[in-house]
Amino acid sequence: MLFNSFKYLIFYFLFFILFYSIKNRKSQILLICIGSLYFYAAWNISHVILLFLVCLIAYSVQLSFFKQSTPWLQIVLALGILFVFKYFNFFAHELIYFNISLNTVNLILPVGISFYVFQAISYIVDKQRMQVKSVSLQEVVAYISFFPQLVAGPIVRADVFLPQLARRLIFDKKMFYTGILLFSMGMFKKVVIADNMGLFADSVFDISGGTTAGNHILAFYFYAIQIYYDFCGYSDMAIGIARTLGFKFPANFNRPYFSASITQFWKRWHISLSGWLRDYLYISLGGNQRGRFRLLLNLALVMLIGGLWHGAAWTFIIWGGFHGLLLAVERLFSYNPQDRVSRIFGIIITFHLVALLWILFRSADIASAITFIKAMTDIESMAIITSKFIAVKCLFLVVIFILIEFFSNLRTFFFLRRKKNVVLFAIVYSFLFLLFGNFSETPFIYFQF
Amino acid sequence: MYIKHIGTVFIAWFLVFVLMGYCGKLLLKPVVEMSSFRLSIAGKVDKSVDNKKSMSLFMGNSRVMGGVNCNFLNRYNTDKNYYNLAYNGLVFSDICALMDTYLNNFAGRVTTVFLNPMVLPKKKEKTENKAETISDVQIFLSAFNMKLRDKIGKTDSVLGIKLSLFPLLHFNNELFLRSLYYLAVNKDDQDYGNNYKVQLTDLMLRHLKRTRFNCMLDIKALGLFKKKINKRGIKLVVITPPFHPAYVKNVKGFKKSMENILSITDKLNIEYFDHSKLFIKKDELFSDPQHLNIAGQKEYTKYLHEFVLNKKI
Repeated sequence: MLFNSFKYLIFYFLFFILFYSIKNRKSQILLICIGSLYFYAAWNISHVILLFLVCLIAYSVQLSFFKQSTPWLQIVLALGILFVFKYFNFFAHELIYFNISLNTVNLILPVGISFYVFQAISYIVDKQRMQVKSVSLQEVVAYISFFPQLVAGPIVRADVFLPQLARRLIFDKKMFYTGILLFSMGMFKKVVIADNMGLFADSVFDISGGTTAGNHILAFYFYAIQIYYDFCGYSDMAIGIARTLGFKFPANFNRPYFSASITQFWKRWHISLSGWLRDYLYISLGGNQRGRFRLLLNLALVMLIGGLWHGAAWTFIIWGGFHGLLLAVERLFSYNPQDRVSRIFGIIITFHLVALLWILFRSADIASAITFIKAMTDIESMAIITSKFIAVKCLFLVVIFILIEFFSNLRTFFFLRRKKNVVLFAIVYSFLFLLFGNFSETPFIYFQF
Repeated sequence: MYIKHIGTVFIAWFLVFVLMGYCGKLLLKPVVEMSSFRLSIAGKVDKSVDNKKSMSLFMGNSRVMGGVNCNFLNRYNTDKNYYNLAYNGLVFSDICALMDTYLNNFAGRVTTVFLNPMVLPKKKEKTENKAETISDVQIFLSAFNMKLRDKIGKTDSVLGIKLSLFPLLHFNNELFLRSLYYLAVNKDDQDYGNNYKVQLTDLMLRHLKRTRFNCMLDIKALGLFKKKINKRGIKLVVITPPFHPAYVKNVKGFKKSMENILSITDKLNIEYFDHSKLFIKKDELFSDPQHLNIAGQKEYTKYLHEFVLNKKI
């Protein structure tokens, strides 16, 4: 059930009506649980059991039997589930090189497993750190399985979500409208920008090296925009839906391509994941408190794990490793551009480094990524674009993308302060949405993680 | 603060959206009418008294039909007009819709339909081409309020509700944009002809070896299609244009699919010409493993012209 599908609209509409019709807090929580589990069952009914199991593991941390001990058991169990479903086959395959033979298991990767396992760990650790109070099983299920952010985040922290369940949620007009606005902007990012960029980028990545350098260069830029707006669009929609139901979630992106360094980039890209990795992994490893060498090692290690989190493949591990390396180098040389010129220069360099590493992220294997990069440098075919119409359409959308990114800094929707701008915004939005929208219900990229 | 006007934003936005959605076709139609982009022809009713030439149509998806360059073909033939209506990712329902339009708007002039059979898989989901997503011929055609629905092909629907019932989507139109582009530069993507010779790398070979070509035709759909156009005295010819030698050699299921087409056309008594291996030794004629480049288009079109003359199609 995709956010950009008609089926989801019906589900959401019914849920919304029921949610605000209920007059007590406990029933609202129960409805969140039922609705979310139904939402998840629409993907694969058997995986609901797995989701519930993860919730039970998280809940067990507050049972008296486990209360006094460090919650290693729960963390290992949660990570174990993730390992079996996501990484076992990968490691079994790689161990062959060490003459260790393991039978692979035939399992379907449950949608969003990386996200909800991390949310469960967030609850387990926060509970241990006494940052959240003990709550009922329904509240734990509602927190981990809350449908707007269940399948692709943002990874909401227990201490952000659970206090919001402490009272019955009542309809708030402002929250509702801002939620709808956020959802609509997210939908625009996904349907108009990301999906159109994807048509071009996919056609080139699927035959890496098999077409002109011009096509490869365009695909290089278009994919960077596609992955950003595909994920950012999803996050906006998720946060928007949550808002219409009375929940406030922190932003997951903050114009990451305007970062002047990789360090800044990771403070602005997938903020909920980088925050999670910082608080639960980097700090646990000692952070910057154990000397310079350990600090650099920790950075590299956290990014490697971050890469692995995205998927069980060498491309992701190397992608994460390169990011870790760049972070370590920046820290080593205390790179932090301050003046205007070096900031602009930094933004251009950072964007291109990030986009270059996206090639690894997108490619089926390392060989495809290398072929893609080589194909970009073929001078003879650099000026040849074989699908000019789609390229022109995407280039127009790149301009729209830059405008959105630029204006979103000046306090979101600042221009809506004037009524005439409201109408202008409505016209431009509708015109672009209806004319350029790709209504083919393309799945979100981050669903595979 | 903007939040003060948030209610106005929401209402204005919604109203504008609905209004533009409904008025979209008013903007769309003149552009498509003006443009001579090959698919925009479908929206026009031919009122020309002078032009009474008979017509042959090529239908299918661009992957294989891209090889037929009707500009070249029309230069060779003076007594007939050829139209290539192949489109990126065209699905069967779109083919039917497009056919209907032609048969209505150019009544009595269409004599032959050359059909690429790859567009008739048993299940729509089995078409491996992602370009299918941009195929919205039905939306384009319904924007003109034509009676185009064909029960042979399934219309796109969600929860049993046909998308054509949502006039809001009429404004969204790939063909509108393509017509606009054609008006501006007088070319479409196919006309660029891919001045590029494919470089067959190891990686591409590996990619081809991993690819599965699964074309199990829907015999019922093809039978109904044949019946429909034969009723109007139009001849149906099924052809498979050339594939790159490496594609023929390496892609799994290719041979089986070709045999399947042969057996089905045989059962239905439809003329079938398999040109898939025509350029088996000429890989310089391809721009990628599935499409001919401009040199390939010229050579194939020339071949086709002679072939049509010899076979008296």
